[in-house]
Amino acid sequence: MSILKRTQQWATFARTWHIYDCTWQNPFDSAKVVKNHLMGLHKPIYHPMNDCGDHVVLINTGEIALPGDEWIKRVYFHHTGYPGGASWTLAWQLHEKDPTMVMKKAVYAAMKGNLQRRHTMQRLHLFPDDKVPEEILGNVTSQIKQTRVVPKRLDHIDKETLENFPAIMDYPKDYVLR
Amino acid sequence: MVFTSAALFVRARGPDEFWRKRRVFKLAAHFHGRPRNVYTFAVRAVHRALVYATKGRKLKKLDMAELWKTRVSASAEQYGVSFDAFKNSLLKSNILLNKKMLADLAIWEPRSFEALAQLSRERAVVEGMPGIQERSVMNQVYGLKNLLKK
Amino acid sequence: MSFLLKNIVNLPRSGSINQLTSSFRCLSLTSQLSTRHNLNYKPPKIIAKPITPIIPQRSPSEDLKACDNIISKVNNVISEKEEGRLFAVIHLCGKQFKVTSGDIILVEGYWPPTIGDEVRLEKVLLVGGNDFTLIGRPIVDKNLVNVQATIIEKTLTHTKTHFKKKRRKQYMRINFQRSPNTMIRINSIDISGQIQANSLEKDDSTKIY
Repeated sequence: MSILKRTQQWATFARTWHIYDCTWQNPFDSAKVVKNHLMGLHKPIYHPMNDCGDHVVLINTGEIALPGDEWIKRVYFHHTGYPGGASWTLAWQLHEKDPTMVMKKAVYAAMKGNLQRRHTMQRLHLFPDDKVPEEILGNVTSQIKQTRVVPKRLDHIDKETLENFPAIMDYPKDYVLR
Repeated sequence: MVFTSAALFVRARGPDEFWRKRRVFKLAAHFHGRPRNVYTFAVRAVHRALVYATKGRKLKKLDMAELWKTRVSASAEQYGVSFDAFKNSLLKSNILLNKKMLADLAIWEPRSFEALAQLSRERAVVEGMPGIQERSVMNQVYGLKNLLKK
Repeated sequence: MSFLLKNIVNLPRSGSINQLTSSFRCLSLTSQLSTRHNLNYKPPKIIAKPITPIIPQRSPSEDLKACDNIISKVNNVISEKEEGRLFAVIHLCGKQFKVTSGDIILVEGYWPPTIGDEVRLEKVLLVGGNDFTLIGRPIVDKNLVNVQATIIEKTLTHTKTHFKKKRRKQYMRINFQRSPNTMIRINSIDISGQIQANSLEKDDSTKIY
């Protein structure tokens, strides 16, 4: 193999590191996108037997937004294997214990259950906030587009913009603002 | 064959048995364990294997079609076009490359594929097709710029 | 725009089309991630809104000029024989093949030509060189591209066993089949002649492919 070919091979199969910001994202929609990058489904060279998956760094997993009343309705089941070892944990309880767990399980469930799945999960790095170790952040060269737009919160808009925002009508003089 | 007794006459089922079994054992030569060595198991395993082989010839074609679709949609989405929009707009432009060719072009001729992607993108915008995303800094093909001659 | 699409028969990838669509690939990540060693680094929020159908603000005359520019560039490359080793996508017996000169392709099933026949493959869907690609709608003008091939071998496939069995139903069928195969060597792919702007404008509906 010539040096050129070797470099080409290396460049083709080198693992890229992607970063994905989970702030206000639906974990189950995001998992589909993240899964594609983990498995290499976003590359034209994809093949099930071809180890071309990338690394994905998920940050701000503590800030995910579950749809509807999923926080109180979604139940995670675990069984220790011993009699009476079954336990059911609500999503909000699990999230309180470990803010990365809901996202991790969402990605895990998005993938087909085969022998490759656990190895693919090794390439997923989850962080509850944006404190990512230097050595991991140093590898990141790409960012995955968020699945939904993060709306701007009212208390995050600066005062000047709010005051200058055009009003549809003025309040009557005798209107009591609460 | 010489049959010295009625019992032996019943047991001997003729020379055909050897060849019949040999035919099965030849097909079972690469099996593991008793299916390789014991005729009763071998014949069952060979039958099953032949059925799989017959069905597999059809499945292979379906699998390849699925793989090409995955590859083409991956490469089209690098340019912000969904698979359906990509394929439809190529069809509208009367470009009749099939999925296999598009997948091959995406891998081996990325610059030709880029031309197709841009063409389909513009066509899709003109036709008002859904599934067109604004190209962002994400998910680009790297190194294409380096290939361009100055 | 519509004009460009009409004449896209000869859509080349040369300088000016890069300018037309440079916005697609002009971004690079290095500037985005220059602050990546900062621990409080927040990736920029990218908004994925569906694109509004904006027809590029170009007049038809500009389009025409752009097309002429591209075509003349490609013609230059061809006349100076700098196109490099060409590849082509050909349509043969219901299948498409990406070939270059020297390739051997396999045609499955019955196909009349015999060994030693020289054939010209006329259904060329796409031709590419070093610096340009000609995309046919659906095929590239046959006066423009010449793909020559020789039939080098006609054989049968290996024996395929067609075996059907239903359990507990006393049903078992076995058949053996071999279908003809033809091997073709691609001798040469040449671009002969110059690309015309409206080479496929004339109606070819009477032709049977």
